[in-house]
Amino acid sequence: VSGPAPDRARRARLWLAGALVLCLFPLMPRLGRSLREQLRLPATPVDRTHGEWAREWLFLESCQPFLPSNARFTVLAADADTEMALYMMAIGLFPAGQPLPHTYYGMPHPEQAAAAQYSLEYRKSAPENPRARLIARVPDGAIYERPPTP
Amino acid sequence: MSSLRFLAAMLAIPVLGAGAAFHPSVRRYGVLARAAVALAMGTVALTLTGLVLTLAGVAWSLPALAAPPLVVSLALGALWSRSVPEPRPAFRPSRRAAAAAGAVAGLSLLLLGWTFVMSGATSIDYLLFWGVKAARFAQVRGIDVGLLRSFYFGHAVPDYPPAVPIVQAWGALAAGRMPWRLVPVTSALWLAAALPLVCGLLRRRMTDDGAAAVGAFWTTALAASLAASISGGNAEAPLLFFESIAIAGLLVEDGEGEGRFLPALMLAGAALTKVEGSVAALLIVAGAAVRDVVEGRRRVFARSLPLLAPPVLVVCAWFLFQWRMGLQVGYRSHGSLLAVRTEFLATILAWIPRELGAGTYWLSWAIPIAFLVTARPVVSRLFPALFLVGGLFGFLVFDYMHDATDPRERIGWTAPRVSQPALSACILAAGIASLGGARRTHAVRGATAKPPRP
Repeated sequence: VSGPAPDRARRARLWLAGALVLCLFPLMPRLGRSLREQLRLPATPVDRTHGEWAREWLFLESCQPFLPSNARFTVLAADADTEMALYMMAIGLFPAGQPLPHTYYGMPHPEQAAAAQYSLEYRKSAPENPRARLIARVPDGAIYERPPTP
Repeated sequence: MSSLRFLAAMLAIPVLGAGAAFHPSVRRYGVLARAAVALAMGTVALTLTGLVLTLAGVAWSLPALAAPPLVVSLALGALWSRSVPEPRPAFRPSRRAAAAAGAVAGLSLLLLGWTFVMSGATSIDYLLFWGVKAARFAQVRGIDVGLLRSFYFGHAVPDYPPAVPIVQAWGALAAGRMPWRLVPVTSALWLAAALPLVCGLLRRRMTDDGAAAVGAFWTTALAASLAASISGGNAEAPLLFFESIAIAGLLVEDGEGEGRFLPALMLAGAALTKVEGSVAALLIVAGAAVRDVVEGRRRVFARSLPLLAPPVLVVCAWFLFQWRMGLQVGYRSHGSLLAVRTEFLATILAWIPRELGAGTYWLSWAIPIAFLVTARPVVSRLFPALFLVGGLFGFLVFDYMHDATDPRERIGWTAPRVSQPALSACILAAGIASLGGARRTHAVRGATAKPPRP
């Protein structure tokens, strides 16, 4: 190996010192937070990174026990962005189900949503379809069974 | 319980590729380093098996997915274990260096793992497509072609290579469901798995103390970066695993006589992991080839071919699958290739560096760059790493120049993640430049390396 041995040893120590300094960066923010908060186990995979997505995830998880695993359902929310987020997550959270988008990238797709048997309504004050049957209220929303289309 | 089964399935992947640990060029390394090679082989084999089973209409199950890799692995292992490995002294840094490097790297990995456990760095893409594909693949016991074909799944980049969803689906099959909170934690395992092999490779060019120190720095920098770039559960950690080991392997290779099994395997893994993995593979191979030409090595083309062939072949396998299943063939581009806009170039050039803090206020970049500059190395020797650094940033700039609107937001959520292999390459190159530079005496038998330059 090239270079005099003492030089190499000094540089190796410098690399180690650098590693030690870098190690402090992820550590520092933890020192300012309460241990209790840091030990609180998360309820969703994104509790500490994307708060709003975490709420939406929790809403979908809360709906799971009330739907048949292979349910055909749509997800409704007050705005298109939230609907899109809920729809994208629902595909994975209901792997045997068939989520149908009400809007997709902001564009309405009512023909898709019309085929849904259930609607999961996120933070909506009233059901989208007044004839829908309430199945359950869950945190941040409710699940409805839609009347069969004639 | 399902989480434990998922974890066990992840830890079983090296078993599927155990044969690779007996390759003559790999047997010289320690057990953990060889396990990393087996992990790479297991991942590649599992992914290809997933494709073949779906093509053949065979439903995925643990035995069906495991059998082909195991059979191939056993056969290759039996074949390769007949050869006599090169003797290599055990990795033995001094007690102080081992303690310090072990403590720093261990603490970094613990902090990263803890961050993932506490959902402090879960990628949103994991909830939108990586994990989604895995959950659906496990449910339908195969690649869900209908879903990938659906217009309403266009957001989930159905053209992306399939390694990460297949590996996660393998775990979900074992677990009986997708353990959404646990999966991001396994991202830390890729970094931990790479470390012994990175150190094992580095020590071919430097002292054991030096390899331990650079390995500790590499781990700490990338652990901080993975957390800061919110990369839990997505493909960044496996991509770093594959690309970093490929680069380290090429940086330390002895010369014309040395086989390139290890970097070739890693480049295949990278190409199956992300689209960027294919770009990186091309850049790394180009860097190695130019380095060889500059150094006057012989048979450059003949030696580059086996390096390039595995990533090309696995990407072809994925494209063939797409074609056979009626999916759109190839990777989608961000618009027409040459339809670039120059009006945001200044913004792009200003904003990319801003996003390279890597969770350490740019120190993860600044320290290796300082080592690199002060070491005044023979630059051509570092080309496999430097081509990736330069090429990746060039690729990023070119990609952002396709944006019709101000790309600042997209730079903000992609540059910290996508730049990580470049950070890794920069650290490895700087480590070799500052602490190595010459070949150790454990040359491969039959190698025709030139004598070290002063």
